[in-house]
Amino acid sequence: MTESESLPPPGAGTPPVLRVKLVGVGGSACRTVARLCREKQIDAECVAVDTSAADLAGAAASGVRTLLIGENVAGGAGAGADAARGALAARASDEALRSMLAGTDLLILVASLGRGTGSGAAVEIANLAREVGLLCVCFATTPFSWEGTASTKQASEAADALQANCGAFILLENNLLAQTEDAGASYSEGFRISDRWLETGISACCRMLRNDAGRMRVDFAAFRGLFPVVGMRTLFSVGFGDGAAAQEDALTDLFRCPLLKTRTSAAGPSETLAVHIELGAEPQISFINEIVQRVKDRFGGESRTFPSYAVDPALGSRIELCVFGATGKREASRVVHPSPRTAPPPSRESGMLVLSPDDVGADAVPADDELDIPDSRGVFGSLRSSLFEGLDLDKPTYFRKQINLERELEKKKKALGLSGAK
Amino acid sequence: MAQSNISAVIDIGSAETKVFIVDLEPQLKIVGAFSAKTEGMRRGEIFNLGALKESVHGVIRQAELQAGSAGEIRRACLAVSGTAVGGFAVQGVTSVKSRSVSAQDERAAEKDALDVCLHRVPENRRIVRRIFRGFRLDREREIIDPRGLSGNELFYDMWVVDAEESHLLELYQIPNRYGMEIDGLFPASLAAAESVRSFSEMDKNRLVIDIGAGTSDFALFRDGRLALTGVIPVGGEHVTSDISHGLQIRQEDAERLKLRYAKAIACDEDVLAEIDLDTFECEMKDFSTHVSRYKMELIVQCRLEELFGLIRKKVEADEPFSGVVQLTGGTSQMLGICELAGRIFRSAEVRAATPNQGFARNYADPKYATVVGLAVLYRDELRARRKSAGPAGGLRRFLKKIIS
Amino acid sequence: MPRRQEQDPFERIRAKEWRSLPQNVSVSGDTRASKRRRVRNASRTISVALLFAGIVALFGYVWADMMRGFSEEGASGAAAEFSSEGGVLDEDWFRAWTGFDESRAPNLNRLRRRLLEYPQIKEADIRRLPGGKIRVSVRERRPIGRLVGADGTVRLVADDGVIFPSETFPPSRAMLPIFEDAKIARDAGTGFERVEGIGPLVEFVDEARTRCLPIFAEWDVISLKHFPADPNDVALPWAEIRVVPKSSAGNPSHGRVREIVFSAEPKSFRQDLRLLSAAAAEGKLEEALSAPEARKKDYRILFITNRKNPAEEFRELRLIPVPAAGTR
Repeated sequence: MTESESLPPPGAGTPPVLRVKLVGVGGSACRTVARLCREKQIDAECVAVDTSAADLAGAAASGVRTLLIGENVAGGAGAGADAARGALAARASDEALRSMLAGTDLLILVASLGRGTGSGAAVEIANLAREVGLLCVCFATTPFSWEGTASTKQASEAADALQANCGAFILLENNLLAQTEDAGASYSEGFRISDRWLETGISACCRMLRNDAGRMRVDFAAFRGLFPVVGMRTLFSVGFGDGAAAQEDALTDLFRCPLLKTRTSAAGPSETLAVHIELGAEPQISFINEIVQRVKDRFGGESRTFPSYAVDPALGSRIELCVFGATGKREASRVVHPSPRTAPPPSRESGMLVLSPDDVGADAVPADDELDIPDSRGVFGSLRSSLFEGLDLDKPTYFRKQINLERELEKKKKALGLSGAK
Repeated sequence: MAQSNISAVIDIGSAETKVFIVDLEPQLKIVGAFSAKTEGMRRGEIFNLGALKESVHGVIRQAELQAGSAGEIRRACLAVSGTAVGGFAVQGVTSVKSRSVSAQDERAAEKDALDVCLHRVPENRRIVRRIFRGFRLDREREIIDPRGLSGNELFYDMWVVDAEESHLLELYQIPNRYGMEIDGLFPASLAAAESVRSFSEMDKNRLVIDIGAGTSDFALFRDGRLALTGVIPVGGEHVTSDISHGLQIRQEDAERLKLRYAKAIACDEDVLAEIDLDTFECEMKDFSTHVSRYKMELIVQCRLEELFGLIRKKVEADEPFSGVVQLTGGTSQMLGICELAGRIFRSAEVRAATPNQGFARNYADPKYATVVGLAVLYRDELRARRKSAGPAGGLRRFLKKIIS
Repeated sequence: MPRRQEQDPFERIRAKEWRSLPQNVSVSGDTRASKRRRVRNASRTISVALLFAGIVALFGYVWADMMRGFSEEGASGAAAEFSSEGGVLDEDWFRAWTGFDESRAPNLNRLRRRLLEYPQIKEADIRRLPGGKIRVSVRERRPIGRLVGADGTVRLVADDGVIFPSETFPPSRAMLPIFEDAKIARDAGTGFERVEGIGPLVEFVDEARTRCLPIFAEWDVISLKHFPADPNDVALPWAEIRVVPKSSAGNPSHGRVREIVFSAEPKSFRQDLRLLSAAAAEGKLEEALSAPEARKKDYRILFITNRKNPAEEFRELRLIPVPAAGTR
């Protein structure tokens, strides 16, 4: 065993019940949460939150608890593509959201950014969680580039706001994920890949903490200690291996995980790490030690490392690894357990009066902040976009021509008779 | 050395600024040179004028110090490039008055061409250079000297390079704020073409492509005479940016990877090769990973293929091109780039070209192509100006020298 | 359009060429290299000018030194002339605070230090005039808000964050908004107490006072509970400035604004103030509050960014109903 910490002897007492809530915000996230709860038997209470009654009906059919927000704002018809509307809907249902979050230790928030409810309401819920002192781990997806620049822009702003308010924030950039596999030409393939990564991340997170079957588990207080303040950059990675070289493959997979390379992911080694290992048979101490040491070499963990493992005979020779950490504290936002507001929040009534610029005669004012240009223009993102004969030459050529690099590599390998070689 | 013959020749590139301090007479000679990284410019566009001034002034000063003449040089010659620069063809026409072409007919055709040019140049643009392409008599082949020939209509062909006024005014500020007046301004494409010109190719079909960091400038010569110039706002930085995006590594690492490993054509032998960033010189030890060489080469090939395709489209708009393609500029040194260009320009012979002017034999590197060519063009222009000014001009210059 | 103009195109073309653009050739000195060039080119003039300036400066220093008088020996008592630039402190206060005695020769250095010990004083200048009289000129700190202690004592907050007593201020000039939940730290050098992160707040108050004075005059309390101490954090989602208008503001039978929530980020709160000012000036706010359904209800004013049309985003002013005071 590593000298990182001392662990309770197996079977000593009954660990306290950890109350985990898995909340999907917005249509796409609600469907993912519903599927996870139905198929993967996630050990968490699942809730679907949306502004669209129709979308929630689908989730309810899967046995998931649902919460319709902002009836007076969206009329149960959804927030459309408007994040402001989504945010307003969440604020209007402040009480209901607070009571939904009551009695929770860990909130796993799932949001599909770019749409109205996902971008707007998710930020408000994260805000709320922060206010009441919950640890919030957020998994969020960003739109594909073909979904349009407005979506991408809205998603980028929402991602920044979520990162600033969540203990851990894991961004799944759909464009990048599609590049990791054989995306094919259809967008449904792309969504399938994105969902798979989401499910992998969420179930790994839940298993790390709710590991009643295992002999070690990551203590929630320790896990919480990984994220002392909000707004940090999260280190999150998963890796899988199978067969004779399962350990090596899983570690290689873990080190190359695309979730390490998003724009919000950790910028370097993390001082504290949580490492979780799932395997099919009881391991030797040296086996666990070696994996943990390799992970520490790569990801840090100089200050503390919390290892845990679980045995699931159904895995056979498969090994699954998951790592959590964080870097880059923001000194000013030290409020993880803020004092409650001195006054309870006011309840929202219907009949809100709105004064718009048309009424007040104010000039259209420019946007608040400088906008994030989508990553695909790289270093030219800060320059004005100029088209040359209809082409945005600042975007990568292979990207514009939708050339799948991995697929081309595989095709070439096959043509040269090198398929299967690495 | 006579101070009035000393000038600064400045090529402000997106990645690097090169300055020569040259003595123009009696023979072109480089008396000081310096080059350094450019700040504040990307893709040939100025996005931070203050930073650009700072970096360019620094380079000029170092070149002056090398020449031993810090603070005395008052004239500069600049190259202009980027999306702000454009070009178009102009044709003037006149009826031949008598049975054979006279000097008046030539002048009338030229006058008509200038008239057309004045109408074509928009309000917010200025003419950088007018290049005479030739005369045509009754739409036959181009002729340089139609005097005495018979025909009905005489055409005057001209290629005009223009640029956005706002870009020029910003560019002017750079030497002006250093106390230098701009005495010469040339399109970068022409300058690069001049520097790599060889005696044997003077009257051939030639396409010179200068692939810089931010832009690619090209000049097409048919039968030794300029046919057109152009700029594509794509350069080495775009290749780096593509690698950074495709392999998900930082721009700085992508640049070093490109310089060390990049090939213009994806090679079969690199299909299994990987680069371990752990052992590569990364500034920050990030979550190191392996990157596929083949993927990187694919990314580069896509970009360069598109670039050459765009140039070919411009060049062959009127008629197909066959001749010599000369590649110059920093990016032209990439492995396999000539072969790739050869695949696009199928009827042409492609080769890498370096400046071959005698006075710049120490600067026979493709990245100096523009600045070397600029010095030559400027010297030629000054000579032409002196010749047209005559003895009165010489007296004016003498008086100016005394006063200054 | 006729292709031929009257003026010769050979002449006209020159006006369209790059040479005809004006060039402003001068060594600007706005870069390091051009600075050096400028210095080198003008080296002779500069050295003469420097020499001359040095002589003048030396003379001036000696004269100023004589005026200041750094020694007591041999000096006799002197009358004092006190003035405060744009402030409220007067000669009585000066004598009381410093214990100035005309019959004794003052140590001017000590006098100046004593003046600067009072937090209301930002700068103090003391000169000895011909004839032995002493001129004391001070510049006071400009207050922008008040702090009310638990025991009811009122202190003022200056535009650089320094907190100072309010006794010398007449009530009419001290009717500034009250800052609540301000983060206070003590300055190690001067020992003065200071409100942290005051910069954006000063801008906010000045902007409000300039742009919408009638509305600003109705403000009672500015809550800094969610206002960050680090100015770099003003753009964070939770950072805000909450303003509570006076309870007497507005018509009692109409709806009442209980709170106005502004962004803490300068670009945003400037827009918010513009909106609020326009809404008030055009009577839209009053119209909304006097509507039948708004009678006797309490409202909060919020500002949000409307992003319906990505090409044209704008800030909107929203009135949100809140439970009335006493029902919380």
